[in-house]
Amino acid sequence: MEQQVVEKIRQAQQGNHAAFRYLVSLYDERITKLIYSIVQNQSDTEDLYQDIFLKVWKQIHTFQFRSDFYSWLYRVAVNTCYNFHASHRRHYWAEVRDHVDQSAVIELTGDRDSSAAAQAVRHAIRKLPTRQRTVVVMHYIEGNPISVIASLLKINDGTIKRYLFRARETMRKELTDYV
Amino acid sequence: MSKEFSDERIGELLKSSIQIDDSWLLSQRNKLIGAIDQAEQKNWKWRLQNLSDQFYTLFSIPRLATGAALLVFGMWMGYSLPNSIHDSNSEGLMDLLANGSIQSIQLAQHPQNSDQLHFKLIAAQEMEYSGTTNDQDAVQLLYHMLTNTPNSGERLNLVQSLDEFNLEDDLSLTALVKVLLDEQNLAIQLSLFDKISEVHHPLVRDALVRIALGEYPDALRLLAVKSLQKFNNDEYTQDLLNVIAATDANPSIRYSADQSLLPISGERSLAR
Repeated sequence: MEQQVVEKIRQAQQGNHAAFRYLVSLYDERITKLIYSIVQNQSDTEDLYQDIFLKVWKQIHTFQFRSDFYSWLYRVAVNTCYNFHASHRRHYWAEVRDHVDQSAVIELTGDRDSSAAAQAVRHAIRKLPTRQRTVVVMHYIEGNPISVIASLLKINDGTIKRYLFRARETMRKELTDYV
Repeated sequence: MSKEFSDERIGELLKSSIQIDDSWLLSQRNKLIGAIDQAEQKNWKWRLQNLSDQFYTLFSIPRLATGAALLVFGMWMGYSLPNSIHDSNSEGLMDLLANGSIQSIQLAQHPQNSDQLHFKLIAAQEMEYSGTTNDQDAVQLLYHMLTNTPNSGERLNLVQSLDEFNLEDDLSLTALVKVLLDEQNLAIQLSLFDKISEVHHPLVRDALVRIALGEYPDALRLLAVKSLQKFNNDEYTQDLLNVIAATDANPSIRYSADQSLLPISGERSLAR
């Protein structure tokens, strides 16, 4: 880690808001992309952005510099996203929102040559429950092996394989319809 | 699945570029800092006001103000060094330095005379205080000690040292429950949980409910759900356990909630 980042972390651990804001501005774009990939709508992305970074602020004193700060932040983010739908279900008994927020602030731009296929895959992803989607994003987009996902989310390899299998089945069906 | 839709291809299709607007990020950052300010204000001034009435009655603002006034008075007593110090007689000051009563020294520039070395000293005076476990000042000191020790190892030792005391009366139980709900370290949470979970008291029941439903580690939530069994003779707890048995994300917790329902009514959980 760069020395400047280390210094900012230490300052934030002492309660320095400006230092924490510096850290947020370093990483929040990447984290926002991760969140959006998982929840697929802007409104939830905004809620999760606030939840995640507020948690990071409250827990930053526990960061012991044993890993890269982004890795630690990533762990907080994926766990929060992974549990997001479950906590929403506890408090809200409304049906799951199933639309894509096409607001201008978060835009998807795909490869023009396969935009239809890309849309089909994304549509399939949106059909998945949030937990499966989290695992899919971590594996296919972030490139994490199953063992790393298991370690970050504290679930066993078998559960992850099941999620990925179901996700592939859903995507296969969606892509078959597209074909 | 055809080669076109292999894992690698799926990954490529999923990696569509997501663009985030800078002004959106800026607005989120501002909102975050506002939320942090609010949370800190709440914690510092209004932490106890957010608790149930039972907590608030015992830790009201006037009582906190009284405690703060006592603290300031004590500090003033510590600051109240003999006149000899203000008269540049250094004998008393040297005694304080020798016996370790000076906690901190700062060098400040004298406002009128730059040749004058001007020190600000913080001196402590050792005091002792005794009170029963139902004595408000004693319990406030206990609470202050448990929440203002930054080192988690020391906090854990403090909690474990409480094993020698019977802390089941309303006042001390209130303080311990408050510490448990706000503590972030799991080992300390578990140690505190061991202390209070066996006490059959409405305060404990409320704390167990908060833990079972709140953002606490699953290990603690599981213990809370199991402990709710001793309160399962009321409808509120039964309803709660039914909801947890049906909806909790953790299967062990769902199972425990189901088990915690059994002894009272023989009624089976809604979850199957």
